[in-house]
Amino acid sequence: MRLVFLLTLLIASLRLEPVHADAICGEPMMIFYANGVKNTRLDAVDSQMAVADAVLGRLSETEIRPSRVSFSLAYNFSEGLVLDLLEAYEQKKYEDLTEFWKWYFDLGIAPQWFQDEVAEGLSRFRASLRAAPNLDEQIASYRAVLDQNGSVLTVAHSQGNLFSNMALELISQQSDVGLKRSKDSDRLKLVSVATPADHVALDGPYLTLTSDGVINHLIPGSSAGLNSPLSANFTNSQPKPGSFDHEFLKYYLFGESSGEKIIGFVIDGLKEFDKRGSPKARQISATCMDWWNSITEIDRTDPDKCVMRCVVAPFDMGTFTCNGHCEYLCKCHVPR
Amino acid sequence: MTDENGSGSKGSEGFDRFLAQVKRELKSAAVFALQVLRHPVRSVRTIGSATWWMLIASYLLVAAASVFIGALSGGFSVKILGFVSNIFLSLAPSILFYAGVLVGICWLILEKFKHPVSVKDLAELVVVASIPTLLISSAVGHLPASLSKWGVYVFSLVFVGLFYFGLRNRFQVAPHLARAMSLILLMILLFPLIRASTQSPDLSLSSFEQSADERVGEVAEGVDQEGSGGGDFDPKKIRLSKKVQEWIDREFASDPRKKRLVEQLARFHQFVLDFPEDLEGGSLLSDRASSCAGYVWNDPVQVNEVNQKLTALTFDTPAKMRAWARYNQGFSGKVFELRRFPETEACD
Repeated sequence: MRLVFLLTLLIASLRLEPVHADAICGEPMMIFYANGVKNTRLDAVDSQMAVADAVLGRLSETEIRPSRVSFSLAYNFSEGLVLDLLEAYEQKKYEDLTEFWKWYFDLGIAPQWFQDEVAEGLSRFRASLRAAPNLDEQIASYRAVLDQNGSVLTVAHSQGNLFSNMALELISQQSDVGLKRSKDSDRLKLVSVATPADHVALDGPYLTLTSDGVINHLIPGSSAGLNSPLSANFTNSQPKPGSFDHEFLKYYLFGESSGEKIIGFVIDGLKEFDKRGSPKARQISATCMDWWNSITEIDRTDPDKCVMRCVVAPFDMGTFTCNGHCEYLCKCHVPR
Repeated sequence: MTDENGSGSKGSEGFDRFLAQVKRELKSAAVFALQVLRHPVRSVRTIGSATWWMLIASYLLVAAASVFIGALSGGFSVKILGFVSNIFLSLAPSILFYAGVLVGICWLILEKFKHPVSVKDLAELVVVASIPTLLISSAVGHLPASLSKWGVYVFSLVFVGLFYFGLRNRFQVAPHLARAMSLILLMILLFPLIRASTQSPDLSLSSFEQSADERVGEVAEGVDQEGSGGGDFDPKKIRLSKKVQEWIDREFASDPRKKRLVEQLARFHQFVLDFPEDLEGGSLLSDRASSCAGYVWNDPVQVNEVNQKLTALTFDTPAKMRAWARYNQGFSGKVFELRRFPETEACD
């Protein structure tokens, strides 16, 4: 008896299943993060990761399986704005860039002329977007998800909203014609954060802090023939120090309650996507899940039935565990 | 008193005894293997019995290991929680691995306490007991993946050796029992590696390392194109400016982990300055640094502020700033999937 117990313990100790076992049952959902002004790619990736962590942390509030949700970054950078600022700075006969960077990263301490340059630059940028910007890759990525019957939700910050508005409107106009399945626009959503735009594509929600100095500075930009940005609609009860309050991570995502609100918008959007799946798709998804739950661990690792896919490099030598997010792609046995 | 010759001959005798012991052990291991083949049922009982004691020891030691390793890595509460959940659900191989380390350390401790303890003994004990832990953390935590794999193999063998000789010499455990326990410990330690290399392609260690090598190769290619020399590219060879290095040394002197991370971020900035056209290499370095920041410094806002400071220090002239703008503009309009590296690779 003791031997059986010992062997059971031994087998239990060798049940090395460190991967996250899951089946993709249901339509995929892609969450894009579109970064704001003055963000390097490194900054944008950090924000993308923070959004991903925050969304995954609250996914348990829904019935959506984490394996259905993936994350991408739609990066934009306005080199012209940065170089215009540099030129203005140099014209003041400054050679040392120490002050430039201080002002660039914290507009609150910048002199008025520098703040005006930023506001004018953003207004010029808004106007220049009327000419077709390079949105090909972004639209192609959205299209690829839609073609798999998936859904796209974009969280856009600052100037990322200008790109995202255009991309989402273009793709929804192109694809709603003559399609029998649910309209693509039903599977596209935009959550706008600190938006300099005068609207949110597809009537999505938005959040702009009343203390956001950059967006408030943009109002004079309406003289360039553009409408004023959407008015600020949220105030953190415990504001963080900083007079311009525009950075995505510091003031919005990790703001006292604004982050919760933004991720709440995302979760609501994902729930809507989930509800809007066709009844047949939901039936297939449910059957797939029943099948997945009924099969044994051995079945799941059977290469004829399932393939294991890891989203990132999987094996962490430091802890001997599968560190990445791995999932089983199984051929669902759905009765016809 | 022992003269030089005396101590030399003593050392030689010790080595001869060791060789003789190794021969005896090899011989008895062969006998044991034959016994297993001849009497499989009895062997299973023996191994089961050995497993019982080993598991009890592991269960007890793992608590101390979790606290110890957790305290070392700064993730105290997380490690404790991880331990509690793991021990009841599925014993993670890491736990058994650390338990193996602790067995080795405990044996060393017990060896030391056979005699009356002096301050010198205690000091020696601390040094001797720390070495395996430091070596392990260096081997698996900070070496490149390809090296740490072999490091794990070597250290597994070393610790199983310690475990075996500890059982035999300190506890006078019967040879066949000590061998069985050691073999099981070795199997458990090496099982994750063997399993990983026989898994489906996506999970295999070799394919992972290969892809990592390819990615580093891309960086190397980028460097080569710029004419900065051939050979394997090692990001650690990127030299930081005196100004940046002094700032890092000053600000992060008290926290070596954060210092390593910030140096990594600084190397990325320097790389952008040196090779603003090499988008692949730059994105690899920055994505690795971003992943590492999540493990070492789970506060994106503070990491962001460090990045701003590094940007200001690195790109401190208009010409350098234009290189910075050109690099970032190179990515504009592109889409990137979320890419997270495992800690050992990201923070390497």
